[in-house]
Amino acid sequence: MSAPAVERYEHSRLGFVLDLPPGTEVHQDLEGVEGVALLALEPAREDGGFRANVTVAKDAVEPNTPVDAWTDMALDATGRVLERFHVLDREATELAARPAVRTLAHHDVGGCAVVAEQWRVVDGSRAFTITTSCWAMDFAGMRDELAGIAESFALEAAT
Amino acid sequence: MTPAPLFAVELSDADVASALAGTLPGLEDELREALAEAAEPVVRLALQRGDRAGEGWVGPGWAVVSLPAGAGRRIVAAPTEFLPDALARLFELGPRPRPEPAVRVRVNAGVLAASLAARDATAVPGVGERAAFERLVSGLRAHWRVEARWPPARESTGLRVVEVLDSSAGAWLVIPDGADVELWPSTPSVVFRELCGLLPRPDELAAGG
Repeated sequence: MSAPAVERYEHSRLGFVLDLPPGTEVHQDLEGVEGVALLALEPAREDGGFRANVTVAKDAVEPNTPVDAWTDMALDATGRVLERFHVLDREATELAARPAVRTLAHHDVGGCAVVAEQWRVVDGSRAFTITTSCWAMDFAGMRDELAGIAESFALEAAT
Repeated sequence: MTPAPLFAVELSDADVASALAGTLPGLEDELREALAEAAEPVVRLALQRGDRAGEGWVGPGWAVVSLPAGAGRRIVAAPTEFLPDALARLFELGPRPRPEPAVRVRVNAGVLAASLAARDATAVPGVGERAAFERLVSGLRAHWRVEARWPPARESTGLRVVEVLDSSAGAWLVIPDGADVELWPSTPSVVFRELCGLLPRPDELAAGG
């Protein structure tokens, strides 16, 4: 069985890569949205429903902030911004060959039930948050593909 | 952006019947609409948490759950897409440690019930299995189950169940196998994924369902 096709995306300024499915709508360094280096959307849906997406955000942190502490701060801030934000799971893991924290949460986006899974990793004074979001009714079927995209995140070696 | 409407009201048993019949006065229009869908549901839910039982009804637009509350019932109504989160909140699903050791435990269903009631893990043989079961039992927070039934299409069983042993030592899925059950070490992420997949796909519903 052949592996599903992917297209490697590279953010040249921030030095990260991500494997995306063909046909993904890619927006780099969104204007007016500070810190969001990448927004990757599934193709437009015929039903006009919530489009599953993956974002990569970069924040500045004190050098070598422990990823657990960064996650605590980020979740606290997120809970104050997102409607009905409900953290369901949290797990220490590894991403881009670094300690990472994965969280799963549910929230309300303008009356739409959305599941957000996030991976956070710290690289020196940079903290990256990779977020996959999809409609709750799609989560069971889409989770593996979305997690595969997030877990393909890698940081290029400094030159 | 306007969040979804969510309702939680406490009613007497008599008022619950009136509400489902559409005759209870004083309800908000959207709640009345939700209860009207509950009166002719596509999916029926049976909920269990410990010795407390509840029921629910799910339509295309709304999900309504009825739970014991004092002398009456607590009615929770939400748009159907919010049912997984409503159930997760109801059953207090949240971050948990990972089960250690992460081994499957096979036990007779009756023995499981007795072991949980007595908080006694000695009935499970096997070093690894007993160690896992001991941690599960000693840290037991809740044993809950939600069952969804619907008029099935030819290829569908018309039934889906999520049953969980929630422990301070981790989350375990309860998988029936004849007279036995298997306890599968799991995570809140897997449990929530199961809740998101609880309702039938369109192809699983009988025509007209």
